[in-house]
Amino acid sequence: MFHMYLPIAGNSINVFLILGLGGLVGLLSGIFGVGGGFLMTPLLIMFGIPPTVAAASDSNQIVGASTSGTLAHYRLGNVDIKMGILLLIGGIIGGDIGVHIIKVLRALGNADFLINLTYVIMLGFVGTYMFIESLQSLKKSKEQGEEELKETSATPKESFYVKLMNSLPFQTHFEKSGVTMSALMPLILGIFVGILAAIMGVGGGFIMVPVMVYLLRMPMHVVVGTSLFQILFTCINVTIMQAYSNHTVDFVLALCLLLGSTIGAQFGTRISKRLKGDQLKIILATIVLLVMFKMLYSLLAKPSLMLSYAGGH
Amino acid sequence: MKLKYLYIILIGCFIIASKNVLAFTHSPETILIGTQYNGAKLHISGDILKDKDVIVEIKGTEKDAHFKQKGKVWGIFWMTVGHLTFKHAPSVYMLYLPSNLSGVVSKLGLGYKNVLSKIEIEPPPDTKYQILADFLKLKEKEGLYHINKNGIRYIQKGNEKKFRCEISIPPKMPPGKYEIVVYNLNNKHQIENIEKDSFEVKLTGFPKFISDMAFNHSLIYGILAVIIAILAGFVMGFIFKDKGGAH
Repeated sequence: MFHMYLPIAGNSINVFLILGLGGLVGLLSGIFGVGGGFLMTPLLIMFGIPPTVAAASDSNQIVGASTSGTLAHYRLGNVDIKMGILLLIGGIIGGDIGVHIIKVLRALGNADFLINLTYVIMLGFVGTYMFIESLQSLKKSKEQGEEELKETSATPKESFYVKLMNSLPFQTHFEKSGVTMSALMPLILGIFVGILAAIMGVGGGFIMVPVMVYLLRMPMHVVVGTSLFQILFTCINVTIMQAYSNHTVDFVLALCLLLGSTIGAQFGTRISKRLKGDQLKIILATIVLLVMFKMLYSLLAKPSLMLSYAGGH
Repeated sequence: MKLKYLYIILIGCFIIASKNVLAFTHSPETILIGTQYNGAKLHISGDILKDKDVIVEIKGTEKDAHFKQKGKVWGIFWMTVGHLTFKHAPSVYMLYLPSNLSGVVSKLGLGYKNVLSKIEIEPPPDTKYQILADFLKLKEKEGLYHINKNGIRYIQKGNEKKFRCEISIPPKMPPGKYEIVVYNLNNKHQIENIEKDSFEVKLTGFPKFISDMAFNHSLIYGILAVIIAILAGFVMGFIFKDKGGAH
């Protein structure tokens, strides 16, 4: 009952299940400005969709969800287009570099192992840092104790970083974010995230968000809107490329996920507006850490089968 | 006169033999994959003599299949350690037999043991037995390899009996042509004759349209998929705006 056949995935799936999955991931996307691919792809694989089709169709779905999310955030004045475009250009350059790095890694052998280990370390580092930082600032805003101000972590690093930022050319004022810095900063960081995203095979939203918050010093709400704006264009590129060269985009699957996720993204944006920046960060940090533990578990636990289908066949 | 008797004897033999030679039918001829497809049933039936038995086999084409092999790295991490290609492995293998014949399947050269023994793995792994066992588990999980030890029903009709078999076609069974093989067994459980036919699993309607677009007009398909997604995003955005949610 209520099953739908997915011609590219080559399997059928319950319509309500896809709508529900789309809704859940769209909600997260709207709240945190992440594409949700890191959550959606493994869930789809769990329900019998081949990994390559799951990842490609999900990026098609993210195009819809992030259009809806970007629109909602744009109306709220949360999208820094200038910053977004610079990050995007960097992301595209970084993505190309990342693809070449993967080729070299594969030639050296054991690429998957290195990729997964990088994933776990990155997620662990980003998640822990965000969690501790937002917990501290939540405490500070509650107690407003003067003593705790001294305990701010990573202060020496930040001062060096500020010096570096100020010494770079092309200083630009980003009005929506309320920051002034070199235009090279978002470009370079975009390249960095692009490389990591390409190596890990993810959209990079949950690396981009912490980068915007901590390295570009953007306010959390503008981060969410701008991240969605950037993700929208990244996923347009990925969808067309995957459809053209690998035939892995299942439009039927993407459309069903889309219906759920665009609605979810709208609710997410409203929830995001009601939460404080630190609350948002702490929830996102928890999700990032959960994903990290799940990945670590899959690396450490003996798989039930020693064989799995290789993609693209 | 002698020739007349010979004809009568020959016709008599033919009638007796025709009861041994199995004629089976299956329906439907073609399984169509439409929008709401979630697997299907294939019905196979025929008439045999009272003391005979049948075994029904469904086989897919033997295409090279590619797999990732997992193993331990640095003594603690479970990772992909290599790629394997399976040769001569049928994409689908199903066996339906009556309950009294489960013990004789491998003696007849049928069943998993027989299928797995023909598979070649490249590069040859150290643990072939374990890998083949995992291959079987993977295929069984998808419903593409299946043995039903109580899958043939008989209805007695005097000196004859009718056999019926209902094959479950899983949704994951890819479009293509599949072979039906019906083995007719004598009362000593030996194969007396084999009859073959085929059926097709085919995409139709919207799934066919999407599949054609994705494979034959991939660039247009990709661009359209993006445009529709963006439009859907806009439509949702405006619907919610109208409800006064956005400020």
